[in-house]
Amino acid sequence: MAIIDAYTNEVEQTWCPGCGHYSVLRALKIALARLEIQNHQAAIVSGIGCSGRIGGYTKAYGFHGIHGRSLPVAQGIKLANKKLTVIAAGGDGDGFAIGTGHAMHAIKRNIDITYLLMNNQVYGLTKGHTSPLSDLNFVSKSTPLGQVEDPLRPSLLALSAGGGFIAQGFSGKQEELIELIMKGILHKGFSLINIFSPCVTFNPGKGYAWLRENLVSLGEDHDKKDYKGAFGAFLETSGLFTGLLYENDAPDYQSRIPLVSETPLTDLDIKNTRFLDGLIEEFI
Amino acid sequence: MKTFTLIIGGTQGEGIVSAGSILAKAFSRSGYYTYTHRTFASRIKGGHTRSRIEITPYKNAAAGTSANLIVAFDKKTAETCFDFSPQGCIIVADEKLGTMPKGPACHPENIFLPFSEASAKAGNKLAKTTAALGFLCRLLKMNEDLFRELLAEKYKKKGGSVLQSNLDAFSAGVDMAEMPFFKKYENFKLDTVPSVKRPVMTGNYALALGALAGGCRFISAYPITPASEIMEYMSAKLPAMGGLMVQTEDEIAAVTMAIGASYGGVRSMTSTSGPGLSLMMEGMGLAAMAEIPLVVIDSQRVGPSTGLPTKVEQSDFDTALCGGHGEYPSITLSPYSLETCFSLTRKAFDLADQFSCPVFVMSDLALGLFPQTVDSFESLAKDPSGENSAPGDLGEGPYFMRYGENCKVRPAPGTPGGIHYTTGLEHGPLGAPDNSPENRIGMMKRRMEKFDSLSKDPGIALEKTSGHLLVIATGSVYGICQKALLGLGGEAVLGALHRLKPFPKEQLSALSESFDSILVVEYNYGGQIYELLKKNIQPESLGKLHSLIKFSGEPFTLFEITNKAKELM
Repeated sequence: MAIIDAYTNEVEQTWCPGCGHYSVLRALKIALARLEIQNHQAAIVSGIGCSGRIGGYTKAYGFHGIHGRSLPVAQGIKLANKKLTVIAAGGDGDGFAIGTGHAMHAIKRNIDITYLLMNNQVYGLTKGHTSPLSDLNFVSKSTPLGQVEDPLRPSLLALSAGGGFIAQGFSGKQEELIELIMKGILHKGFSLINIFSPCVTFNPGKGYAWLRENLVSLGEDHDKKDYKGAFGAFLETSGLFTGLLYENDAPDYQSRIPLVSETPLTDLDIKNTRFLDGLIEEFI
Repeated sequence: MKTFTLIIGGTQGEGIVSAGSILAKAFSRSGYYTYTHRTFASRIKGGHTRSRIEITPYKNAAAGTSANLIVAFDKKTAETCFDFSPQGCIIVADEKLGTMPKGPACHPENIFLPFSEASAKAGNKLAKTTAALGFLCRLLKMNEDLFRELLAEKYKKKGGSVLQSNLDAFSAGVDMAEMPFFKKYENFKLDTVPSVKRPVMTGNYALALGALAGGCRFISAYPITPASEIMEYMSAKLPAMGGLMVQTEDEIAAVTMAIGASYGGVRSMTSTSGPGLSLMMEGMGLAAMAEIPLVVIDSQRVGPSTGLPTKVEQSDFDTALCGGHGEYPSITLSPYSLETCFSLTRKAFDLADQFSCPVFVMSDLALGLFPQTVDSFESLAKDPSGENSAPGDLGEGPYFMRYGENCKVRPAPGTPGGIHYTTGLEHGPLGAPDNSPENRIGMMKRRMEKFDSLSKDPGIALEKTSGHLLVIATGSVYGICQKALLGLGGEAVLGALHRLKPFPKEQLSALSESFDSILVVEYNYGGQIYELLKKNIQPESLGKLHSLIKFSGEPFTLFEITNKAKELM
């Protein structure tokens, strides 16, 4: 059995032929399998959009929620049961249009989950609308005369919001992407992996060929611990890079909670209500 | 005296509220029941605030008795409190006010007392309300040591000098009640009652305690008046119990995070008020569609939009009943006392678990924020029931038929053999999207018809099931109706509507036959509960239904209720 089979299910995959998301799915499944995470210990939470299907195509607990809300749901799951491996995944519209507020606060909150931003710089499932990550002058059904706004830059936003693990990958660079997802899962805290995942149907201009030509790898000499350097590396490449941009070892949310308990919330005994007497006494 | 009502008012931030709560505690520790009506503005410092405290030998859940005494630290207190009886009511004003406010028709006795001066002498300008406490304690012949004990409990953390200055101000206040002026108020002594210490709290705390008793160990919420105390209290108490409160970036995150935690296998909730409830609607559809338990407490205030954040209304029922898009199952409960704030919230978690759907608990500002003395909740506490979320190991099967016929088990992630898919899309038995018409019909029926058993349970609590007039109320209106109807000598029967969805249709049918008239009393413009009854009552009884509404933001007066009730009797 190939290692990927451990996480493969029989659900029919409906992405367009050539879609970058197939490769994100493949990298995720291999990363989970290589880390020997048991299927039932993984929860894949997605939003709405083409990317939203990823949880359904993975043999794990899959939660396909509402547009833009994958991150609060994923955080809730991890807070309920810290033993789980929780992956949130969503497109650039899901994460950085309707879900921008949640993305910023998830980064700030630093709960130990991994967020795969399946970034194709376009709304695919609505059949081609401009996304907040679409380039200036991008022509689509919603910007027929060309987009007049500059795109948001998720990795820069994440750096500013205090992100402790910020990486960029590319569907077309599988081995690097698998490594990044594994590192993201192992990172104790919130990890953002912004993945260039081409939409061959509605954004062919940013297809595999263009990305191969324009993406550079952060070299061996890039210091992932250097916060200021991370801004520099982003600006020097205009954000067109792959690799681990920045990582720190700030403690994650659940380690910072006062009176932190090792017991997951799911394992608490709720049958016993003897504590009530003491609580009511405080009101006398 | 059997009952005593006093008002203490001044500028927000001056200690008016804490003086009121010390008074309520002192009387509740002495065997009396108290009900405090608070008036406040949506600002922190400045602006007028007052607490109106009714002290009774019996349980009382509403304001409305004439004031005997007013302690004024600002002119507005006296000016806006001329709803007291002219006979025997006195205004005691802080000397610093300079001139005594003039009342309209009635002519209460006035006197200045040097509360500010006494607190300055004690070396703590903030202690002027403590001086008033001393005055009240002696005037009402209460136990001074009890008050000193309460002051010590309140101020010991702030250091010895703060406590000492408060004790000094208190003693100065005690002496003020010895002035010859008060000789004629010798009768200001409450009848003795059996010495029982009872808790005094607001509905928000009762709701939070009910949640804890119901097994809730996770709450994600966003601060909002008048619901914030729920999340505050949970955040103070949950960590020691192994649980957690998360303050989210907005109400959408609050509801979806609670859904995530609930899906993750822990009893979870969120709490909010109207503006937050509007934002949370997409979460209701998701929880209902994906069959995930969720408890949402809504402390209603005046809407729409920002409305009147510090005033009471019951105008979110329609939103709770059918606010989100599409058709989905949910349960709507409505507490009508502090005891039911506790017991219904506790029960909400069992129902959410049993039916795997959102459960609303509809409180309101007056129920949530106005402190009252309660009998202990211990008798209402039952161990949480429901086991749907903890199936243990489900064996080897590759997938679990989570949405299969008759399946109510919800395996949380981490459960071996429980892997399934969860989605807000229409889905088949495994949870995978399925848009076939046959599946759609089956799944809609699965969700929409799951309450058949629950809808037969009574949703109206009442002591007599027949009579001339049945008055239906819920929330804080119930307490007011209870008080008002006492004055009518038991001729009208009061019913508490505590479950709006699924609506107790059969019970209403029976009641509509055994009563001549039904009066629905509520705080909104559209008569939302009245319309709900109208929809559910059999057509031949429609003529029996009557409505009394109020949407000014102010509570009903007893007169408004009795007047309408008399009209119908």
